Amino acid sequence: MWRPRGIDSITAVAEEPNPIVCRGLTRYYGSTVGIEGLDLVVRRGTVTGFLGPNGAGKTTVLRLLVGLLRPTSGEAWIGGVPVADPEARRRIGFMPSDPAFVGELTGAANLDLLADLGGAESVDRSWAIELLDFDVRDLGRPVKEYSSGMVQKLALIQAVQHRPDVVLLDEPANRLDPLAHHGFENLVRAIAAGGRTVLLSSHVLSEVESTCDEVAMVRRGRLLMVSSVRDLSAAALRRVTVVYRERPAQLPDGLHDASADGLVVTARVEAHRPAVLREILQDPAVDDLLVEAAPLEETFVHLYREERGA
Amino acid sequence: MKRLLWADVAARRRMIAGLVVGTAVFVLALASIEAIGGLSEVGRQAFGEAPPALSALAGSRSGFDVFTPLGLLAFAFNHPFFLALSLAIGVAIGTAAIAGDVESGRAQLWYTRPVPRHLILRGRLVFWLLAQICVVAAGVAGGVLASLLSDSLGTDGAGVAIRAGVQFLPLALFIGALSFAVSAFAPTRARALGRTLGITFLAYLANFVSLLWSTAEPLRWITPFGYYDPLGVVQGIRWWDAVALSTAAAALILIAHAGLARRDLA
Repeated sequence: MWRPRGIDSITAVAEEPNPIVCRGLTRYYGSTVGIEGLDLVVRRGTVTGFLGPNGAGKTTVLRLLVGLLRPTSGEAWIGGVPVADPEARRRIGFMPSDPAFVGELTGAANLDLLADLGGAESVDRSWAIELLDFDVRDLGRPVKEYSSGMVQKLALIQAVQHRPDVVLLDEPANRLDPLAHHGFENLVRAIAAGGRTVLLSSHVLSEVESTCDEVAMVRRGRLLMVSSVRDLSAAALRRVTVVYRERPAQLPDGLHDASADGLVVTARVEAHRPAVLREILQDPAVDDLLVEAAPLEETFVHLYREERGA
Repeated sequence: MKRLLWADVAARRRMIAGLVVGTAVFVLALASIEAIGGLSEVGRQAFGEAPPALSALAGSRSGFDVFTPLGLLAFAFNHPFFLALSLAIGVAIGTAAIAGDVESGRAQLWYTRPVPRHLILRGRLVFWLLAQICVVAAGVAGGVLASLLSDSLGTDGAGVAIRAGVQFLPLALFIGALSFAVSAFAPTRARALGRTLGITFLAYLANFVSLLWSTAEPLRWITPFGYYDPLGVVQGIRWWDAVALSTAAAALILIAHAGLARRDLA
């Protein structure tokens, strides 16, 4: 059963050396809320999706974690080290949403420069290049000649080439084509398989669903909930399609967003509501019934509506 | 930091080359016109004494006559065109270094490394210093070359060109350092550029007025241009003025460091 994870569970694991811990993390831009009172723990070896609509505060959190922004209040740690300490950044690989490389330098020179600034004793980028299907010959070309998808791949490579413990990705798959997206998913899985931690922001639920173990939903600067993708899927709405022999006199209670097309009625039912399904089946006019899990997208929208209603 | 330096060189090599050539050619051209056409003599015959506005434009408090071959060569190092060319490098690099990096998003790649912010700034400062020295040296080279090819300038002219470059460098350092300091507090490069150019123009204007109008003479102490006397280099370098400007430039660099340490980089 899905449950929001709150401060209690955070307190329980706060003593462990979790790769990412935020406590009361708050950032205002003047009077505008960037993020407010964020309590979040990301566990080692997981891929967590930071999900929310544009302007929800996802990028603000990532920028606070890498030290680009200073919090108005609250604290955050990377592997137990406060984010204000440059040592915390040694453990991080960060990919911004709009990476700005030195266009006149080649891809390889940009990667070398960033590795040099990172103080990495050794870098290993070949695995990432292979997984992303990046043509090695392109590394010898100036970045200003790259397409946006190639720049995106280069940004992913620079974020992981020094094998950081924590990888923070801001809208990482924005400009990737479907083939490259597959490579991106493999890359993220490879990072997590090595016991490393990934936190990625996205407003695309299908991306999170296919890539992440956990999902943190944020809206208007506030964390709505944290859940495993599996729990969320289990809690997802069910999409019900009922085929009647004759027009029904009345639809059962518990059906949401019902619409009829002739004798076929489609609707949504909340998870774990077998009574509604039984009521449908007891109607002698029902000829057929199809129940399937609704896409996570619909659950997401449903949760946001609930939150707005609250 | 060597790679950081090369990255800056790669990104700005065309601009540096353009300014180096432009500065050298401008000084060479002005000095050559004097050598070939006797420009200072033409001016003397037309005006007698240099008009106050021209003397003020030459930026001199030394009383040295601009209508002499050496005076005209020294004037080249305060000509508005020379100032624009040779100060542009510091303004361009300084405003791009912090505000420009933040605006372009490059800061999100560079400043998220485990390197203290001031070390990255230091790398940009080294690049700016080298580029600034190249541009000023190009102007000096133009003056020296014209002097060696000219009978009226000769070795005295070469000496004046070298001293003018040495005297000018602290002013260039001040304006460059100002650009870095403004950039450290500006949200965008355009604002940093606007503020730096505005301050520089007002400073130039204040010095011009102080030269033209005796009542406004005290203004010279609050403007960096008041510590730069290009015609005075004919008689020798004014070291105290150079020290004053260099010290002020160092203070501005410290302000830039403080601003960078405290600011948001996204």
